Amino acid sequence: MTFVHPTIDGLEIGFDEQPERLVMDCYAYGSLHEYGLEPDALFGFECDSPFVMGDADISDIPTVGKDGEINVEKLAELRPDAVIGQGDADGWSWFDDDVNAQVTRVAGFIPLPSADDIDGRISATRELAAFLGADVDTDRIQQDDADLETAKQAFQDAIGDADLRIMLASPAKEMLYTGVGFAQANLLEELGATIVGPDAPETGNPWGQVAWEDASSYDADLILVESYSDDYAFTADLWEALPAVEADQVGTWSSKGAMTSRTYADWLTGLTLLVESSRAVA
Amino acid sequence: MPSTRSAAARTAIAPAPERSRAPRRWIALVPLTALCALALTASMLVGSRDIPPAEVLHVLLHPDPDDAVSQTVWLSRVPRTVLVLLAGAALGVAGGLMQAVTRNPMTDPGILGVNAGASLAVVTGLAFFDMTDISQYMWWSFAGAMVTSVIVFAIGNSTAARGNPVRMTLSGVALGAVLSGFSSAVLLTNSQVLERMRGWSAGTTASQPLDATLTIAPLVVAGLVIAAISTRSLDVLSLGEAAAVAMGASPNRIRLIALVAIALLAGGATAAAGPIGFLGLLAPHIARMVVSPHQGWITAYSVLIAPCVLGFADVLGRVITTGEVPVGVVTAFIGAPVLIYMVRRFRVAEV
Repeated sequence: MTFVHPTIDGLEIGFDEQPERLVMDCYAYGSLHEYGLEPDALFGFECDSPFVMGDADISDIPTVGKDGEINVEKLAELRPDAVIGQGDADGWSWFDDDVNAQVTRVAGFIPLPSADDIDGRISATRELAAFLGADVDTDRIQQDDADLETAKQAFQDAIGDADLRIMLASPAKEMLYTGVGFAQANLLEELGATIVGPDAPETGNPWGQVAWEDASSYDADLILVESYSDDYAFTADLWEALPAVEADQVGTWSSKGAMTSRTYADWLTGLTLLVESSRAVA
Repeated sequence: MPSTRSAAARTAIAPAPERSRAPRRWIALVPLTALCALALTASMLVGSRDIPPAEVLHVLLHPDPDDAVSQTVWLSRVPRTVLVLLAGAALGVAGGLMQAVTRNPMTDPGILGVNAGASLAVVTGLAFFDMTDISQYMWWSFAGAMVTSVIVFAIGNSTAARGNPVRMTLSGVALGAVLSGFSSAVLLTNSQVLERMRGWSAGTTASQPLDATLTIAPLVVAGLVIAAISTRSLDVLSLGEAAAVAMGASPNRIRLIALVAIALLAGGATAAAGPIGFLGLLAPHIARMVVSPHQGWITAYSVLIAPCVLGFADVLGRVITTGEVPVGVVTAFIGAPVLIYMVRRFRVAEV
């Protein structure tokens, strides 16, 4: 049987039979566990991040690697049918060519779909889940889809009334990174939000780069910080001086979170509440 | 160092031709001071945000906490300029001291493992002690630099071969490699720490609050004072171990005192700005080419040359691209070719 990749043109991955023994990176599991798929082992980055893993419990799942490392011998012992993770036709994004060559000798590698828009990614991820044997048409999934549509409408109504400008950001000591052009930013823009920040670079690293001196020149009333939480620890004088931060109008987003209707329904619902409680400050 | 004040020592340190060079050295300090002032002025006036000089001056005199331009000047350019001055002077003088102690013109704070010790301390604090704030980094970094310096000194002076500069240099290189290995091991297994370390480890003056910068000022000033009063002793040491002992000096004590100054200077600078390479190598080299091997003058020139180079490098990093390039990257890029040019163009001055 052959998996025709939904977002990489011409990529067809052949298998002798239905892949059952699966090894996933944590980005893949974060998305696929919604469809009831369980891996025989995990590897990769952010396995302990709630923004990536959601409510998935990985405590009983063995690991064959952490962050950018993988134990190929341990992987081979599991005799997986497929390895699934973020990457492309050549293999996982963060492995060297040599390591990818070893991994793909052990099992076929299926890159996670990466469409330009969130709906496309959710749909393509669902295609992958269906190929791997999941039932993607359960009542719960249909309810998740309905919740997502409701959340989109609620956000659209809220942002239409509020007229707030939003920045998607990831602050670091050396500079402020921004997320114009990311699928999450595009989704909010489609729903009527004004996204501020420098244009995404045409090639290479997709993050916009803003020197701290320039941070206040992008008038943001509301800032979404990647993986933001109540115990968020970043501080910098020019960050604290931004009007949105001063007004505590800060929310969360994730550039790599699970590509499911449930994840985005919950995110948009939280964001709607934030928009409704925010005011123009920039 | 009373033992260095003998007539024999003074004669050895300052022979007649040496004394005749002093006026030229004083005169050369004038353009160097002007260049340093220019670099610091550029650091105040130039940045990724285009602010006219008159406006910079206005908000300097009339700060307005709610005005974006005033915030840029007071929360970014002032702290960065102060950091450039302090960290630059500290690294330049620390490099000169290291070269004198090890009698090796190719040493800098990295060679004796000081940067590696500071980095490992920061990594340890981030990974195992829930350290999150930049003001905490600083003290861990400083402690790491201090402990590493003491260990290198202890290893370098632990046996009958004590005082051998090659032995001390090798101790620093070996310890630095071990400490860097530990840091890498922790960072490879903890991507969140790697993420938080990224800005600091590149060596940057951005996002450092003024009060945090000023907390290292006493360390740097103490280090500079110790360096200044150690210069004659280090000149005696440069004549060789046997000659120094014959003059009544205690080489071990001289080295220990210099090492304390190095830890204060390099530890303080690294704590505030992260590991910035090449500056500690470049500044004393340039100084030595101008003033010849005289530790007092090398120290005085390094105090001015290093902030000058760091200031221009930092300004270049602010405008060279969208966003910023950390100054540690810029110093490496401009420092290496400049050093190679100077080594090829001029005679390499001996320590």
